[in-house]
Amino acid sequence: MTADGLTIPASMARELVAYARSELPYEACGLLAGDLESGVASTFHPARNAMGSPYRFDIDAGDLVRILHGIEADGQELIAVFHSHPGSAAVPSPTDLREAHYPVLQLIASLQGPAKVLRAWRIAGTTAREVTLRIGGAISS
Amino acid sequence: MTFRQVGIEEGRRLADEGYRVIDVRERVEWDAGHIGGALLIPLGELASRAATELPDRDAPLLIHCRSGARSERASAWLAAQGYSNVVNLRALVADWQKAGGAWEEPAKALTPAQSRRYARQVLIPDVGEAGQRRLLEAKVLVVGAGGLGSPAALYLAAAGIGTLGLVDDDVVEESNLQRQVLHATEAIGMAKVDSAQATLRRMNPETRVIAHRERLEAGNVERLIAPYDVIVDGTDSIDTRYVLNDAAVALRRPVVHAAVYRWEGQVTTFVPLEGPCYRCLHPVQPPQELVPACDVAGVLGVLPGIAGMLQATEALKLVLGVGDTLVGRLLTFDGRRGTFEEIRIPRDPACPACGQAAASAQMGTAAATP
Repeated sequence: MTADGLTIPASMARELVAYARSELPYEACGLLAGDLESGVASTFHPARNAMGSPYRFDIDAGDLVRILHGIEADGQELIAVFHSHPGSAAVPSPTDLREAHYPVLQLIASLQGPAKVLRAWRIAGTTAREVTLRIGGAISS
Repeated sequence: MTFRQVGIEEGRRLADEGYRVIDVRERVEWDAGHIGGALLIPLGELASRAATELPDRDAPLLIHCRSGARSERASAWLAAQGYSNVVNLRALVADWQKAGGAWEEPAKALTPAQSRRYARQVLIPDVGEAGQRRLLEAKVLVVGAGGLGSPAALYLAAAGIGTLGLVDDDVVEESNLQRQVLHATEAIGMAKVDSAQATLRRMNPETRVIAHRERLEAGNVERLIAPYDVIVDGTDSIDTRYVLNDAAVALRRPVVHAAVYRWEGQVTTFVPLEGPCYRCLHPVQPPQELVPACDVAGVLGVLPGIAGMLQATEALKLVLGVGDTLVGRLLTFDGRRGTFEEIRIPRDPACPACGQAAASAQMGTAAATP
């Protein structure tokens, strides 16, 4: 039984948004690794968007293989595919629905507006269902 | 020209009809309380101010003092000047308030010393004298007199927060000094709350600092937080954060949250039922590898400084009721890169602390309690 939700540390949320901004005007992408059972992501692996497009993404094939091997070597699991929407909401586009090849969660960052939005989705067939995203992993003083 | 004399009931009716209420008492009497919407012109100033402040000699005027005696002389003088519609309130003005008439008790003004001390923030239009009085009357509880609590408490005391509570059961250790700026080298071995109290009293003798030398836990949390308007969370324990969160949601107290890790920090504000609470973010305790403490992970001293000052900013905004708080937004920063990011954090409708089921269960309990 795997968790139907995703938990990421706040530092990763910041990292995702910062990376997405650094890739502007293109969509940024990457993979989240962690523990599939608890749904807790512990590492973000940024990847190149082979399409270099503001509207679509395709994880660079070389990066994909390198990252997947790294995740396996770390004893972790792939738990989500991340990408950004530079100018639209954090909701899967029709293209996202068609091209969600991996049976893992899709995490989307919207860079619209001052407060960035992260939302997680499970895509099955051509429909997307939102799952709970928790941003936490708080630390101490 | 002449004038009429009326009692309280008739006077109130005239005021409701649009008669301009003129108070001819002295300012000290006015300051203790006065008819809502009245204009103060002490009798001794009437002759010099009437022409400019009451230019329309046909305007209906209701003149009063404490008992009706001084205002009778004022009314006679005004009538003699050609004011055609003057009415004297021949009654004790105290009865106006008792009869339910509009009444204003002006808030205490700042003392000259307060006006000087807080001059720079009183100048800010969002603060002003009224805002400063709010700060002076506010009660803020800082949980943890450590890395976050130190800068937060220092700036809150400096800003003139009237009552500042501090909760901590630790003693000052040498390795704290690098970031816990409330405590000086001589304080090593002292209770943190005592060291903090001494520092804050030197900083601002006007702030009442209450030292709670205990660890915040389920058994004392409600007693500790209930008397305060705003809670600043500067704790170093995840368990404490849950205990604080659940009590704050139950008692509807806002909590300003922050956490730091090495070069990174994050701040947000939890206002119960307005935005998410701590449990919306972490319904269950996160795995230990995500929550390293400073003594394990390390932290650059200035990081809790930044986070604690952002917490103080949030607490001041909550007290003043101005600006946009971080409710529903997580402000994160990376000191190494010099970047801030702002991420939206939603409420969890299924949250065990503040979700719909929890909220209605609590309301049911409240309704059932006499």
